[in-house]
Amino acid sequence: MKKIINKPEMYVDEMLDGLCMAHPSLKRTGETKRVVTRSSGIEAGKVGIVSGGGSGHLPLFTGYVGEGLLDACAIGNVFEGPTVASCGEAIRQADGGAGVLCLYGNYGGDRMNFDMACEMAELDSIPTRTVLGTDDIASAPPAEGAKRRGVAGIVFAYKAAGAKAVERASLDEVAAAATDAVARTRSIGVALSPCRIPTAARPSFAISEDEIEFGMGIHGEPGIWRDRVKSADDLVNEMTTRILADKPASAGKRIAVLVNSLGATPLEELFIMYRRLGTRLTGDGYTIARSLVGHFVTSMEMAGASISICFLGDELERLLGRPAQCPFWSV
Amino acid sequence: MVITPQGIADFVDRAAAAILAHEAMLNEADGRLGDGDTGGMLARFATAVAAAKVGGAPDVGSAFTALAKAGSQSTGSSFGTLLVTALLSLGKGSQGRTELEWNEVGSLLAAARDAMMRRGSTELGAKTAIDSIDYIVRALDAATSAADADHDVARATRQALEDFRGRPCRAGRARMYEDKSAGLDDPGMLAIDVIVQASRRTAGLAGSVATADSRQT
Repeated sequence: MKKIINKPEMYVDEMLDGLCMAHPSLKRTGETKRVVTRSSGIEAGKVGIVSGGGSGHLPLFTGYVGEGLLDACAIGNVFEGPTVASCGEAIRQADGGAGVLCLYGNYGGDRMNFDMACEMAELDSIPTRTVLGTDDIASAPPAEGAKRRGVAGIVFAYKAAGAKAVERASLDEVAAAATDAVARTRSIGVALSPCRIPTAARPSFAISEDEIEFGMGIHGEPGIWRDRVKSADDLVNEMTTRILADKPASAGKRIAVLVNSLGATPLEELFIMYRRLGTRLTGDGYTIARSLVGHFVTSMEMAGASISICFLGDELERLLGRPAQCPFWSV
Repeated sequence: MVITPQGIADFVDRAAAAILAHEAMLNEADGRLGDGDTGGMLARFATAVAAAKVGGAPDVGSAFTALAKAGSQSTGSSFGTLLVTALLSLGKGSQGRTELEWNEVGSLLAAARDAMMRRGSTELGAKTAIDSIDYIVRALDAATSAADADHDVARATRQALEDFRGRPCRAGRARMYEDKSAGLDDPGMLAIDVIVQASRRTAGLAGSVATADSRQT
């Protein structure tokens, strides 16, 4: 598995250097420079929004630092959580005096480090709240929804929380907006080929050329079934059926959808998937209020895609429509 | 036998060398259950804590705390963070002490084990490094002399591997491979064994306990 890199151990830092060079709206900070913030600085009186996680998922997490989205992001090594120090620095950088929301995916390392950092921030009189992305329906049954991993659907929570914070809502109100977005979002993915961590000797999993794994996570976590590759329409039908069967009790007929590439799968194939998704959902009586198609949460060179559906409420739909600007997404 | 900041520094040097020597083996073991980077992560962690050079720390607690700080800056992985949690607990428990008796280590390590369980929301029996530490705690509790403790701890980490090998992993990413994980060693448990066995072997204490390289994985 070939990569265009210099040294495996420099993968993350050289990537961050290039990212910030290409997008001057972002800057690296912190003792180990593993925090990315807005170059324009934090706005006093606004709730800060922090995310973080392992590298290897761009645009997630770092790429969503921007107006109406995140204020700071703590970055770990590839597929490793950010350090406690980075989490703490990100919280301090995002603090504009109104508290900080930590909004990130439900993974062990991320959770432990952010929890420790939040405890330290509270000692420094920075109030914090935590909301975890838990949208991957393949990772646990509905009865154990709190155990589910966070995947591509977290971008809806970023957008909702970011918009609410811009409106100078309180920390609890911003956290509630993020919680609502997470509760209303469901995702599921399929994988065709693995990726390899630059410092690892082998790919993250093995799969035959003619196989697909349904429900696989963004680090190669096992999915629901593995079988011969199916047509895009058949895959989208099953993905959609599973998501709709898992929809929240409060779900109405207005939705936002995200068809996301895990890295190597091209836009062309995403639009082939969207074609079936849109037809199916419209046929089922849904109104697609917002569509996102592209690379939003990846797993380096992994081939595959995910579908996320956000079942909108009035307030969430309003927040998703508010202006936002970051290197990889603008509204 | 007493434990001093310099003794801790010497131990860390030996442990770091052992981890670096076994980096590929640990990556390989992790690759069977996860993304195959546990060896690399631990190598970074080991290099960072060894570089902290805590031999000159004013007391044992400060030495452990300095190790925790150095380790925390090297990784944010679950296992790395749990090791940091253990070091912080050891530092808190030995704050202000210029030296510790060997028979005080068991209770300190028990507190560290409990802190790891709280931080990781994990219970004993999940087939993690915490189980190996629990075996060490029990060996220390039962030992009646420093020499016994040294031998029994080395045997304990090996016994933990033997006892858990056939069980499924129930924590971390490996829990998703429940069927596959039965029959395989947990990479974290292997790492604890590598540290204990190699540190002891380097100190010239290896006796009846099999060498780290003879393990089945």
